[in-house]
Amino acid sequence: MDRFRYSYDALVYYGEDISASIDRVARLGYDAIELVGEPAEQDAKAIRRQVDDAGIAVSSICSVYTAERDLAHPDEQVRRRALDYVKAVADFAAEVGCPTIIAAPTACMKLKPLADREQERQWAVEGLRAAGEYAAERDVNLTLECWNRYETYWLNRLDQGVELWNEVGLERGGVMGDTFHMNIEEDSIAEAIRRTGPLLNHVHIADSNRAAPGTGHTDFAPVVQALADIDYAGYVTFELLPPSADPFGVMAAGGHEAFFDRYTEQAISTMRHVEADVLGARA
Amino acid sequence: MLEICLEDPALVTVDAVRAAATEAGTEISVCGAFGPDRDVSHEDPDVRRAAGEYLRTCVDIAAAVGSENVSGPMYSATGKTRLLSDDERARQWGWAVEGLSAAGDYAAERGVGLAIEPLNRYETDLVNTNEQAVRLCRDIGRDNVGLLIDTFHMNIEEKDIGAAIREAGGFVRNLHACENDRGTPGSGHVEWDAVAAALSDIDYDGLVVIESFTPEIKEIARAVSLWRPVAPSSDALAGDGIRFLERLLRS
Repeated sequence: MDRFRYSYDALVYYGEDISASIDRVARLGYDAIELVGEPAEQDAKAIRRQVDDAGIAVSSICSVYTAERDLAHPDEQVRRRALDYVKAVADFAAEVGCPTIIAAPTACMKLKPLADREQERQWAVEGLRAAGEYAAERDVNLTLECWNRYETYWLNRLDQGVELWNEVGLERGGVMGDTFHMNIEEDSIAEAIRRTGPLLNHVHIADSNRAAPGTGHTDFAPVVQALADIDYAGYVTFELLPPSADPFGVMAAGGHEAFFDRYTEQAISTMRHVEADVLGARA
Repeated sequence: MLEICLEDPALVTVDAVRAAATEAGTEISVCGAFGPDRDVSHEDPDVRRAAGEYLRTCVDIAAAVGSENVSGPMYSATGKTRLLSDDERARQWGWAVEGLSAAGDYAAERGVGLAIEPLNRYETDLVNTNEQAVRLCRDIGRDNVGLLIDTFHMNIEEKDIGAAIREAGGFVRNLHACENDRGTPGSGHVEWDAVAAALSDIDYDGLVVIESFTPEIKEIARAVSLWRPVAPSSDALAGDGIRFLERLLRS
């Protein structure tokens, strides 16, 4: 049996019917799938039935923080819309039996503050706290994600995520790392995981080039060792995306064929090998 | 050696730079800054012309201060990341080849080289890997046109940094030795031993430049997305960085 439970982020299956995505992930041996968080466009009951039928779980929801969903925006309407969005994602998560939703203090690809930094921080802390309390009532936890410098001016390193998380002060939930972003920002990916320790409640795995592990140069052995050292009990989720400043444009144009069967299979088989090498085979 | 960035050539007084360098006992290398109005592969011929003029100015300055190369991502405007059809991409590539061939000839007459720098996916859509850059150099086909390779960008884009350096081989004319977060070389997780072994394999004898940025200079900080200090100070980064690189490369 694996030490870790594995999940694959449906984000890169862009354009595909979700039932096909669920079937692929189940067929290739995954324990779970990470779903994109667009609750207004998703049929939670049908998805719940499909994952149950396929014998997998929903590990997590990959929320989409656009400029219109910015918890730190100076416009109160935008902040409220952002909070409503996180609540809707929490409801969706509860309906599909998913324990974790990804949260961010501000929009992805926002590269400069729109207000005083301290003020933005206060807004984000308030929004995350309200969202986290709402989610907790539904048995859903937030996980705060850090992105690399080209996607946000704010949380680039896990240490920064932990600091903000502690300020939010929720009883449940935590912070997540993504090895693609960490390859750019952290001095040592493994040490960052160890420092985050019990607060690490989700993880995204991708190689240095954001494709399947084995296609780049990230050494996953120390990453797996660090996760074992902190008794990480969450899902090991692959979030893979095409090499572009605009991966969604690439996907819309159909340039992401390798990320379906090929990388979905390669990701889990590579990590299982690393897991067996580092931690030994488990009965 | 000090690498200076010719963001605004009008601000550079060649005699003053030369005198200051002589007094400090250092050499000068120049790199270009390629904004949207200096785009050699732009659709608009006027913008392409402006890029050509700027490159010639950089070459003149390089020749005057004794810089072996003009370095930088001179094939496009930095930060231009668009999705193009294959045809559009081929046209952009053709303009880059055309403009850099002309700049290369101008440079050759003045004893200067061009060192073309691949950038990561967030900074350009045209040349992300050493393989693409070598292809560009081959299409340009000038002996004095080669590559500037940068470990920060390679850490994001290359499957294997050592192999990528070997692939660039004899084309490498300049090297930016940067940590994965652009902090002090040696403080992060770039596999420096593999970098050193590959440089030795290709008999690299050019410059080793530490390139970093500080969030205190807002314009450049934004262009390179540097939001937090990556070292205690610029002096600490330069001092600790050279001590590390000297140990690495002289051993």
